[in-house]
Amino acid sequence: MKKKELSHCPDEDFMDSYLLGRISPESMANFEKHYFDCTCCFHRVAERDEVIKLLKNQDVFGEPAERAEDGAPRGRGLMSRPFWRWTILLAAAGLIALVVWLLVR
Amino acid sequence: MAAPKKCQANEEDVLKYRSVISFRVKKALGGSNPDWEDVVNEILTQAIEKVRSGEFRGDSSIGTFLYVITSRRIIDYIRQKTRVLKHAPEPHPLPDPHEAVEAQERARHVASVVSGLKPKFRDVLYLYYYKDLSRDEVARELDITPRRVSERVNYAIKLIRKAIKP
Repeated sequence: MKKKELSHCPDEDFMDSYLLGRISPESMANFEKHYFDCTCCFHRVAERDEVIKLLKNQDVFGEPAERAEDGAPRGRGLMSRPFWRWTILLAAAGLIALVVWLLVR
Repeated sequence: MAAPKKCQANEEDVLKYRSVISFRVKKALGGSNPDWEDVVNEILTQAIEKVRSGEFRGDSSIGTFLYVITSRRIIDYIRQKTRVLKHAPEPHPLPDPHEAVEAQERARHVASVVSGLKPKFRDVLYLYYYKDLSRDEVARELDITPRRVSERVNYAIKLIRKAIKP
């Protein structure tokens, strides 16, 4: 069976998937064949690989103890999510308004 | 009708592919594998011999020709190692102290760059690369679209690459 070859240079998302091993062996082989002939893609994927390897190093994102128990990065949590942040702020404002209204009444 | 143009190659053309072959071999065998450089040299030697003996007729591009040799050699190496490991496991190679220090230095530098990024970029990098979540999972985790995840990842990578460029 003839393998389907890449007809164009892939984007960064595809390169990530290749480097992180998230594509099929057939797609991997197709891309590898492609970058043997495409200097531009080879340089792009090699540069990205270098950065990804560094980012996979545990020292880059700080010690695990500096993070929340679920492994979330510092500063993340309910309050960092827009929906929850606004919900909590609105509820707090409502509560304050209710207390003030009760006191004035 | 004119005959299709054939690709010509010589020793120098083959040697230009050292970095591509090295990348492919390291990806397949792992950069910490002490044999990767030997495998690359074997591939280059084999390719040069084939070019000299006229085995490379230029029907395909030199890149495709070298890709085939590289892939075959990687498969042979893995088969060979699997056979050897069945009988006696090899001792783990000791890490090179210079390389370890260098890697630590680089990690420290990247850490300082990453800590200088805005939290929205740092979080995406952490979840996507370090925690190994998929793009969709990161999107769900941060309440943003997968497209936005890609944009943040690519922008952050661009900044890091710029910062670590020698």
